[in-house]
Amino acid sequence: MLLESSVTVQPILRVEGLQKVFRLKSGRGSRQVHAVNGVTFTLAKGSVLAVVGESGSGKSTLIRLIAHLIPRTGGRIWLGDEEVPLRLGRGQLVRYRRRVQMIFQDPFGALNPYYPISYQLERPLANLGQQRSRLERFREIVRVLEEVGLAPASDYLPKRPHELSGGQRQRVVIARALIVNPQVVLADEPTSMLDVSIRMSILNLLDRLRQEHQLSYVFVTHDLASARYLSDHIMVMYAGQAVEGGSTDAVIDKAAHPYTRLLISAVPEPSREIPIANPDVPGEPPDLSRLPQGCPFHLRCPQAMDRCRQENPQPLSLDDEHWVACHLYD
Amino acid sequence: MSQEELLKVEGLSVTYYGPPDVEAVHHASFDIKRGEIFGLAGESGCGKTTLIAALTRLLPDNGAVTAGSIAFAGADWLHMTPPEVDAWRWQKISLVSQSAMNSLNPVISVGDQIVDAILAHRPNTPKREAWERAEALLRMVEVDPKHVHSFAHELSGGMRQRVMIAMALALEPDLVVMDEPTTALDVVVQAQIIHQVRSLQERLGFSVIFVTHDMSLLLSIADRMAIMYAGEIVELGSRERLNRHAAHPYTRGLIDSFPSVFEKKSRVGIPGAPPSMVTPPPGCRFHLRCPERLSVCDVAVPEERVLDSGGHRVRCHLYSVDALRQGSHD
Repeated sequence: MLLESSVTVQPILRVEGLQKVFRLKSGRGSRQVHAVNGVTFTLAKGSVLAVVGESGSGKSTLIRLIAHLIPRTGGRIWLGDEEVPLRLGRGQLVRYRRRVQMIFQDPFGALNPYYPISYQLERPLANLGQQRSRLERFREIVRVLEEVGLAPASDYLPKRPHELSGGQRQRVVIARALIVNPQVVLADEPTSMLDVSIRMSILNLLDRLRQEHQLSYVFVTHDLASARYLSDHIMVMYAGQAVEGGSTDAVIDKAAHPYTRLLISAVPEPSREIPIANPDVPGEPPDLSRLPQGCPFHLRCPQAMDRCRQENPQPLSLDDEHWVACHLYD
Repeated sequence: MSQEELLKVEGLSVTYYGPPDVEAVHHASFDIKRGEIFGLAGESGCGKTTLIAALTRLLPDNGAVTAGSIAFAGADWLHMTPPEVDAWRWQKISLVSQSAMNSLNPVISVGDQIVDAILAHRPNTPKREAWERAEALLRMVEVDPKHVHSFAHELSGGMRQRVMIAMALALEPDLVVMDEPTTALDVVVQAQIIHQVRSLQERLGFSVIFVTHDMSLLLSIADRMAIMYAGEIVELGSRERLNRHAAHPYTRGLIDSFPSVFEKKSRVGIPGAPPSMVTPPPGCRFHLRCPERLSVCDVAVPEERVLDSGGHRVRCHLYSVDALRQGSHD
């Protein structure tokens, strides 16, 4: 299918029809929240896929499913050539976490405030790594700290998280993810909690590490501009579904889905030199427990047709590098 | 747009008493004209929140204005008594804060809150009229007037922020202070709200102080703006001027911290992190992070220089001839 044709290099991560339904119990019975609804993508080795969407689009749930932090309701995941089973045993989970690591959004919450940096970096090695002796572990910790720009490592090892700035803490979180030499790194809004002037340095660090270690990233962000900056591919999510995807240039320069166009028009861009445009599309994303029939975007779509109200569109290939799930192109 | 001055701040300094004592705003001067959007940009800890707390007479008990003056609508704002200030709140100056969820009372309806503000300031208003006014205000910000009976938790984030804006406009103030009003919102909702503020402002003629850390947003919406760093206003000018001829290295770094959606260009942001305000660096407060630092910057505090007839001014040694000569002899 089209999603395979768009990948010319070896895939490292493949996801098909991924689904997550949360059950919410309330006094009046239970409701189902369809957080992720049939998402399919392929991540090529050494590349960056940006998953872009607004809050509630399911982008964070998606990578939490891939990270095996929450169990999926449906769909399949392959890492390299191996299919990842729905439930992993203890040994399998250790092997999986060695290969797939996550960078969290909030560097203030992601580190244990009680322990020094040396301890925070030693834990993944003790739990997942293969280094035997303490000396070997220590060498690894020093190497990775200096690699993320915290040099000399001896200045940082004894410190506790509160003694570091937000940017330095995020570098520790990145070091902790990289210390087990993973192949896939899942980054959940890694810069959104940081001061604006240091965001670029973190994006540039992630880019350098990817090149040096042939890492592959799934980079979740609400910010199209940083997606453009870091990624080679973009997937746009709306109400739990992937609505458009392809090479970063194609998705932004030739945006096909009305929702993608809406997102792009809403991004503040000083070079346009005009005040922000009225995004002429009313409303907000739908309640995920009461998804409308048909295309999830049809209630807000300026080009909605009868068909959009009945039938949920399937992904269509526009060219080798670009697909869209929208009836306008059918 | 009339060029009449609404607010004039001169040499304002604010200190929080400790220990340690922290001077959060140092010698800030600017003016706001009637009917303009004035932007205030800077990172966390730069003093922008303190500055607007002083402007709205909402400083906490341990904070005090230690120097300077604020002339607001012809009055000596800092020397007005608390009852006089209370009488002006909502009627002359109102505040929209970042977190609408925490600003709305969760246990009374939206309409009750608006009516409460109206009756507190205009006790002779008949109740029915106040309720009609509340409905009209909701209609004005494009929220269905039936929501006068809704509670905060029943509204989406965007709707809550619209309600906050409607409340801020309830008594037709001259100045609306907006502290990061869209930071917690998604880009599409942000664009809708910005557009709304713009069109209401053109219709009703109030002035806005728009505080944000998002330079791209400010360069898209503000008429004029001030950039703050470590408690000082380092640059002030019109949107057009700052877009094309940003003068201070910090302003340029801040603009460079936001990648563009439309071009993929390498950016560096600003190295390092903002300084501690307990012991601000000597000389220019930005010199430790400045890529264009001269030897004079380490020791001498830069004077403010006016760069053009439109009031573009900057606090930086690069624009003083003496400093250039000294720098080149190093």
